[in-house]
Parts: sequence; structure tokens; C-alpha cells
Amino acid sequence: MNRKTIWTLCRVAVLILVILTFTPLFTPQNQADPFLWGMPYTLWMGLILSFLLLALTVLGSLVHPGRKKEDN
Amino acid sequence: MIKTLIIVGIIYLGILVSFTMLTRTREKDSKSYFMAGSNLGAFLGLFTFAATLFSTFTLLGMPDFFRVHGVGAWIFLAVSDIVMVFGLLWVGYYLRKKTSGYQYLGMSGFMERCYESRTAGLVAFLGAFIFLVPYVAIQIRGVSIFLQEAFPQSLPVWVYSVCIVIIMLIYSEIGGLKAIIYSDVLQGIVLLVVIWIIGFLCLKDVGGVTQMFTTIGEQNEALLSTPGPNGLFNFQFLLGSMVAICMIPFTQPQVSTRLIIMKDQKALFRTAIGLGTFAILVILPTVFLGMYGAIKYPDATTSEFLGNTLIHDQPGVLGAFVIIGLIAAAISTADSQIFALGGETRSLMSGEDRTMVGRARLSIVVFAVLSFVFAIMSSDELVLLARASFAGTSLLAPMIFTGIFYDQSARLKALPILTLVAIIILVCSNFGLIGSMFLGIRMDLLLLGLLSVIAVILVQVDKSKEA
Repeated sequence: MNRKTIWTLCRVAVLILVILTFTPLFTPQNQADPFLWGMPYTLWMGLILSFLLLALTVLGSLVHPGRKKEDN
Repeated sequence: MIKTLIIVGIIYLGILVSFTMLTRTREKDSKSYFMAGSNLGAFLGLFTFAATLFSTFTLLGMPDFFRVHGVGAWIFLAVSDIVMVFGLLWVGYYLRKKTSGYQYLGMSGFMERCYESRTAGLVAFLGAFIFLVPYVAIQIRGVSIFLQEAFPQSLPVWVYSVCIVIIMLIYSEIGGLKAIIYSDVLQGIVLLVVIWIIGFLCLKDVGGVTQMFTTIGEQNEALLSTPGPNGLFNFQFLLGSMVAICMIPFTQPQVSTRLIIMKDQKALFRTAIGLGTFAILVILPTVFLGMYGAIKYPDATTSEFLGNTLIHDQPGVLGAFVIIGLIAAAISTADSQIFALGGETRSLMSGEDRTMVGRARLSIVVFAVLSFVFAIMSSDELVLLARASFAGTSLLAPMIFTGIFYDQSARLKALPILTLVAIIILVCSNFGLIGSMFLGIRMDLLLLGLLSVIAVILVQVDKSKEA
């Protein structure tokens, strides 16, 4: 897979995660269960979501088309 | 605590003075004064972005937000901030590309150039001015009411506000953006260290994470999920907030200026990653502070909760650091915003550079005075006022993005005018002159959506005419 494809996939993945943020998967109404590491559902899912987005940012920064142009 | 506060305060002021002296230049041209030489590396970039974005609003507003509205506040700010960071990586590249080879001094001047229209520049300036002044004001007010709570029977709020404005003006007027950036490093580190120490102590006091959430579940279970006890974190609020926050790097001049002055793309990318990490690190302890408050001070006022949690419940020495950390956080954000408004003013002026810089510096004083007046008059709803500011400036996004991505934006003269109309409608809505909802949709979200659709239609129509 070339860098451009990975960059596109990163953007699509971020978009999907953003959409999922507003669904019951991440923000169920009035539901605190199940708890993980002592934290209510929305908080630990929110933390996982944040780390996923950050990982995509790291990956995106490595394959961003602007980086290749600068390397050249 | 007073003795420690004096010592820490003197050290802090001493470092600020040193930075100001180190970065002071006799020749104050626009590039060095307003753009810090446009050669910012990743380390300075990270801390100046962080100190500009995370402020009183984070340190004072977010704990209170968690306390009152619950864990959904994490989605509201942390998730939105990291999406914003990805946007910085994505769109920031194109903004830098578009402005390369052009002396960028502010978004207003850049819009004037893109649209070949004075109106476009003035609309960009007006949007930033109307919605940033209240944001600056809440930084000043937030710390001032906190100081009054920490030292009751001492000075009135307005005296604290005056002191903050004077400190901010002195070092930014003398040292320019470079002094602000260097002081941001200090202030960013102080903010992070202080908030983690207090967060840890609060967490320990309530028996750790599991015990903390178990107690809250018994007291007020609605805090453990969305939409929270008051129903604030509904779909529209969270979506509107995320959109508004994601637009900040492009619609709030203090952030877009920093994006432009990065040394190269790699420095920008590293800064973006660092900023995302910083966002998680700085917001996480505010969860602990908020939940601690929900257990110990569920019915207290904002200032009572903050005064007790951040000062009175902490060891005296730490309380002193908190106060300095808070002042630092407020100043680092407020000065960047006021200074950016000065930069926006400069970007709209043409003439002999030295004279224009002088006039823009004068405008900084005017903006600071206006912010002070607003600080005295504004309410204590720090986060909601900040959100109103984000939502307001986000209305500029369709115009700015069209300017960045569409080379023929000069032919779309209607867009700046429609943006102005949207700003006026939102201001009327914020003042209660018209409703805050229309057809069941939040006014800010509706206006942004409409402007975005109009921008796309205008571009497509223009392209089809050309074809």
C-alpha cells in the first residue's frame, strides 16, 4: 500500500470514528454499564476513542503527502 | 501559603521579565513582531499551541463542567480536540501551502487577498473581534473570581482583572509574539504539572477511580452517562461543539497564526501529535477534579467549588502554585488572543510598516481595555461562554475554507456578505433577541450548515459557468 492510500484510509477512519462518536456505541443515553477499570462506559470508550484518533494522527503525519514533498 | 505565593509569584514574574528582555527587539517590523520571525520549531510550537488552547477554560471550567454535567464532558472537549488536531494536520497543510510566498500577517488580510474584497477582510476581522473579546474576558474573569474566592475580604474582582491585563500588556507590547511564545512554554508546563498534582490528590482523597465512580453512582447516577443530569450533552450540543472546536485552528487568529509560523511541515506534524497527547494529559485530571467536586461539593456554586477544591483542600504550598498556574494559564491564552487581534488589525492596514505596527500595537491596548470591560460584565459560565466563542468564530469557516481551497474565490463576493449576515443572526440569538433554536435545530449549527451548503453551491455554480 502506498502512502497516498494509507493517508486516504486514515481520513476515512477518522470520519467513521467521528460518526460513531454520536451513536449509542460511544454515547449511549443514560447507560453507565459496563464499567472498565472502574470507569463508566462513556468515559472509557471516550478514552479509547481519543487514543484511536491520536494513533490515526500519528500515522497520518507519517504518510501525509506534504511530508513526502518536503523529504524530496 | 501567602509567603510561598509571594516567592513563587516573584519567580514567575522574574522569568516573564527575562523572556521579555531576551526576545525584545529594537526594530519592530511586522514579521518579527507579529509573526515571531516565522521560524517556529516543534517544541516551542507544541507549548505555544497548548498554552493558547488550554486555559482558564480548561483548568477552571472543565472541572466544573464534569461536576455539573458528568462524564460526557470528555466527548465534548477531549474527543473534539483530537479530531481538531487531525484537522490541523489535514487542512493546515493546505493553508500553509496557499500562504507560502505571501507575507501572511493575519486571516483578515489573507481573506481580503483571496476574495479581492475589503469586505471579506472586514468580515473576518469582525467575526474574530466579536467572538474573541468575550473569550479573552472569561480568562480574565475566571481567574479574578477565583482569586477573590481564594482571598475573601481582600481585593475586588476588577482590581485583579486590571492587574492581569497590565501584566499581559506589558510583556506582549514589549516582546511581541516571540515573548508570548516563550512564556507559553513556561505556562504550559506549569498548567500541566499543577493540574496533575491536584488531580492526583483529589483522586487519592476519594479512594481511587473505582471508589470515586461508585460513590457518584450512588449520589447522582446521571453524571456517569450522557446526556448528563441537565440533559446538556445531547446529539446537537456535542456535534455543534465538535464542529466549532475543529474549526478553531482556522477561524481563531491566535491559532492560525501559530500554524503559519511553523518552520516547516514536519514541525507542524510533530506539534499536532504533541498537541493531541497534551489534550488527553491536561483534560484527564479535570475529570478527577470534577468528580471530586461532585462528591464533596455537589450543590456548591462554581466559585465555592473551585476555591475549595483547588486551594482550601490542598496543602498551602500547592495552593500557591495553583494560583500562579491559573494566572499563567489565563494570561497565556488571553495575551495570545489580544495579540492576534492586533495582528488581524495590522493585516488589514497598508502603508509604511513601522507606522502600521505602531497603530496595531495601539489597537492591542484598545482590545485589552474592551476585554477588561467585558470581563467585569460577563457571567461565570466559563465553558458555555467559551463554547459560544468557538461557535461564533466557526461561522467564518466556510468563507475561510473556500478561500483556501478554491483558487477563484475572488468571484464569490456573496459569501463574505452572507457570513456577515450569519454572524449578526447568531449575535442576536446569543443576546436573546431571536430564538436559539430554529425548526428544532440549534442556531449555531443551522447557520454553519447553511453557510457550508451555500459555499459549496456557489463554488459549483462558478465552476459550471467557467466550463
